[in-house]
Amino acid sequence: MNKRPIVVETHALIKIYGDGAEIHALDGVDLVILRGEFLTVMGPSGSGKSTLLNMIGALDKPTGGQVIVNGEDLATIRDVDRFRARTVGFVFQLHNLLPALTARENVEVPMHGQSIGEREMRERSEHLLELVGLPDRMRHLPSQLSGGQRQRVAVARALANDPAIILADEPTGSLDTQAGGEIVDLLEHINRNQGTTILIVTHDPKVARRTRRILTMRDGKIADDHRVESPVREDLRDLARSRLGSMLLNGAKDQVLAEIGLDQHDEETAIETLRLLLNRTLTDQDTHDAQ
Amino acid sequence: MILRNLWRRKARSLLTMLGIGIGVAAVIALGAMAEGIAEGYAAFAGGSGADLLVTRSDAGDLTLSTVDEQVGERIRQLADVRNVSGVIFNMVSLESIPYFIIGGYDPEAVAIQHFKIIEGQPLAREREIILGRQAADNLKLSVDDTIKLYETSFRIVGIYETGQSFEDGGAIISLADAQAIFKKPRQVTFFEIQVRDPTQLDGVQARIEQLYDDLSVSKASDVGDEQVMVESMRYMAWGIGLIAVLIGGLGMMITMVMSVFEQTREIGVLRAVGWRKGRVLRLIMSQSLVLSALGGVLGVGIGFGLVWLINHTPAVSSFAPGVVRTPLLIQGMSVALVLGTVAGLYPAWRAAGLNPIEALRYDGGTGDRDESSWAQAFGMTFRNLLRRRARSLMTMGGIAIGVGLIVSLGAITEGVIQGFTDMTSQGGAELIAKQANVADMGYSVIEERIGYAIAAMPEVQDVSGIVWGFSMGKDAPFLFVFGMDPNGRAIQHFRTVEGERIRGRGEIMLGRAAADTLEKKVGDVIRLPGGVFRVTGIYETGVGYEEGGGVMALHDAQIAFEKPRQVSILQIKVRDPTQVEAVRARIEERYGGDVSVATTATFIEKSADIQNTKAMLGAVFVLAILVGGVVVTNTMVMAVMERTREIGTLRALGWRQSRVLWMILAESLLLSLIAAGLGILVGMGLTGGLQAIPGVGSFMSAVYTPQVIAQAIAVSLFLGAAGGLYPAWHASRLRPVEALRYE
Repeated sequence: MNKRPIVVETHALIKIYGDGAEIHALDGVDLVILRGEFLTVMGPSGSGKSTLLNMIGALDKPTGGQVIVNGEDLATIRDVDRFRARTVGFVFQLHNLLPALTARENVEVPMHGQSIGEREMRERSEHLLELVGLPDRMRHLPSQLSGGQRQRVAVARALANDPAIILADEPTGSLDTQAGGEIVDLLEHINRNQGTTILIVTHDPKVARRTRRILTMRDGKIADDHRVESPVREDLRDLARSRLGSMLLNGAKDQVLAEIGLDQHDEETAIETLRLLLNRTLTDQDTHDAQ
Repeated sequence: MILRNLWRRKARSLLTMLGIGIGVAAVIALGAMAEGIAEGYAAFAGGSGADLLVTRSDAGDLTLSTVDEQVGERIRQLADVRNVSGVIFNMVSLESIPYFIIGGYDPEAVAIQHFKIIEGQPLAREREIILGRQAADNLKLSVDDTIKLYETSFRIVGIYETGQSFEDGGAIISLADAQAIFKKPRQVTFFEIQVRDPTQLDGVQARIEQLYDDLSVSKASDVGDEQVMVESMRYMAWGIGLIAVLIGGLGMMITMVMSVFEQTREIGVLRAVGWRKGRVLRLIMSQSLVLSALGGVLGVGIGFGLVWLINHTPAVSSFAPGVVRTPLLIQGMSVALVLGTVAGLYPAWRAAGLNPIEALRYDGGTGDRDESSWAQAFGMTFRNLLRRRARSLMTMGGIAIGVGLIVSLGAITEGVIQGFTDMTSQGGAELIAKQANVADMGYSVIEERIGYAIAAMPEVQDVSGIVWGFSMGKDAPFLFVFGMDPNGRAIQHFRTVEGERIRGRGEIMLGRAAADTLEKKVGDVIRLPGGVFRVTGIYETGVGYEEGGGVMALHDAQIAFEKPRQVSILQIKVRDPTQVEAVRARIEERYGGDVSVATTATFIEKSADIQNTKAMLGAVFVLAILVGGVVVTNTMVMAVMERTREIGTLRALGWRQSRVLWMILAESLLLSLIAAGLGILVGMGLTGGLQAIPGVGSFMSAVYTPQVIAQAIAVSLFLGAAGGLYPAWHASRLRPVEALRYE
């Protein structure tokens, strides 16, 4: 797993606010994020979550330590604007869409000034809006969209320049449970299908549980960093413990096939067999429930 | 709470105050100048203890009055009259001082004692001059130096001081010298009369008026206020002040509307905790009034500064010293307060009418409302302006008023220039001569014999002398009169459409517009200074000035305007049109002391009158730019402020500072460009309105030259750039993290 390239790396990251009564927002944070990770940062208010996000996004400068994103040390980076436009994508708690612009134009905003042709801009923004499920809302203004739809546009905007990492600060914070859930679905979908690294800052444990790594911050330090088991892997473990599992594990494939009335010996169809098996099980279950 | 609310938005409150302040300052500075002229005239006329003043009734301005010396002899014989002094009062143009006031007094007269000598000797004989303290300082001259007035050298024998800046900025020469240099032989500008018994004042006044129906007798103390110049100066003060105040007022209204927008949620809370509508209304009104009062105080301060500046500029102070009197300050302050009331009324009413529930739900109002889909046809810049329609409109209105004024005044000035140029080049004359160093064209006097001498030059084909004058008679309140030789070349230009040309004395032909205004037809008679004239014809020439006036025989005009054997200008036609410049140089070489000669095309441009009009135009420019700039800045500062988070987002998404800068600047420029278009329309409307005024309109032919329009657009764009620069810079400097956190 560690063979995957590193996207974000911080070393002894320190951020101190104020002159007199100093606030140590970040107090020596060491963190490594690999490509394709889907992780959350949790923690109480003032624990330094957003500060960490701002440091990674080059919105703010650290007091001490180092931030390396995509192999570039942010302290020595020459063009911060270009970095923000190209390397990271932001999703805010409030959608922060420009009210005067249509959904498509909002998605195009980060492409401005990046020497991208008019036509390509249009194609890309249309593609991204289709990706987030809003192919029929291109010409709508933010005021004509629901809260969830606005946040989808914001996600599309974050993807505009195919960034190395998406930084989402409380993306569900101002949405109701259902719309919030849909946004997490969308982010998960993008993570799985596009392979985009996604970092979410959230208060919401339900959101955190959907990701595969949870960082917990307290007083400017990372208090806990644990990986969540993949749900599929848990399902597999359940399967292994079941009677079907033990039959499969014991090499009694023929017995399984015989038991459900199949006699194919082709190994390549084993998976398909398993799918059929599960399908039938579900159908039986439904019939049973209906009765 | 009121002050704290204003304090919360320091930049905006300050800009609003500045907008009002400049308006109030303009009212005060211009008012102070009018006051200074009024007091100066009054001091000159009555300072020496005169009780009554005798002037020509149709003169319009004191300096244009001429009274025969014999009248003084006659008045002296009246019972109850103790003392009569004839005085010449006029102006010359010096290099550094366009209007330099000269008084001509008999050195023996009682009146001259008013000018107290503080250095050197009193005036004793001809070719001597005494200077006011201020004038001596301004010209850097002292006793025993010499000064040249119209080619005549005078030796400075003394310096006087009266404490009146108007007088102290001028000079006194002997009456005989003054009559000579101003070409008023045996005439004076006015008589100062002292009566033996103050109770007999009215009696003496009535007797003189009975004796001379073309003279007016006024109490010396009233003279200042009666002057047309003072009147028009006061009107101008109010006019320009009003414009400044109007623009400033719009800025004020924008601020208050914005402030209500911003405080919407707070107002919701106040209403929810039981504040009555009236109380909310009072809160907003008080904010508006406090703001305008502070602006008024600021304006009074700036006004004093301007007056100080005026009084330290010799070119202005010697003619129009600023005098600030309490009523003027009260005027200025009341203007500010009225403004505060008017500008606060709508926002206050709006605030009081807010529905508390909706107000509480208000989300900061960054324009999250339905936009018309047609707006999408335009760019982001335009859409951003559209988001705050009311405010953009008000801002544009403010700029448009300023630009409109510039367009209107510019076009009228161009019209005047063109009208005069057409007029002076009547009949194909190439050159125009006027009196050298004359302060105002109205004062130009040339001896007829100089015209004859020029006509005798071999290069010159023809010379026409013309007398110009304004008649202020009873029949014609304001008539421009030309005196021309009925058989000369210049008069050929006036084509009659009704009746016929004048043939000789006692006749007049009127321009179409003048005939309509005065309701005169061919064959009617008209009473003017110098007698009764029969209307022989109506002419049309296409030149506003000409059609608004009348033409009479040169001799009649010389009598009517007291210019015996004199003319106002000479029209010169040269034999060889390619030699115009050479002929001009030769005439100036020979008669340069008496006349200055210019080609008909440049004559008007060069004349002091147009120069002064252009200076005034410049003042309006500056005023419009100042107030307009403040309003634009104010609007754009607000636009940036309420969009702080938006700008933070753009920066977080990788927009460069320069891009953000340009976005705000482009909005400001677009705003001002639309305003320029609007302003040009306003200006045309304004001119149209002025032209519709009967009697005035005929004189005002507006000419919209490309320069006038270009100027208006340039001023507008300058406003946009200047007003947008600071907010744009501020926006580009916002730190993204803080901007994103901004509520």
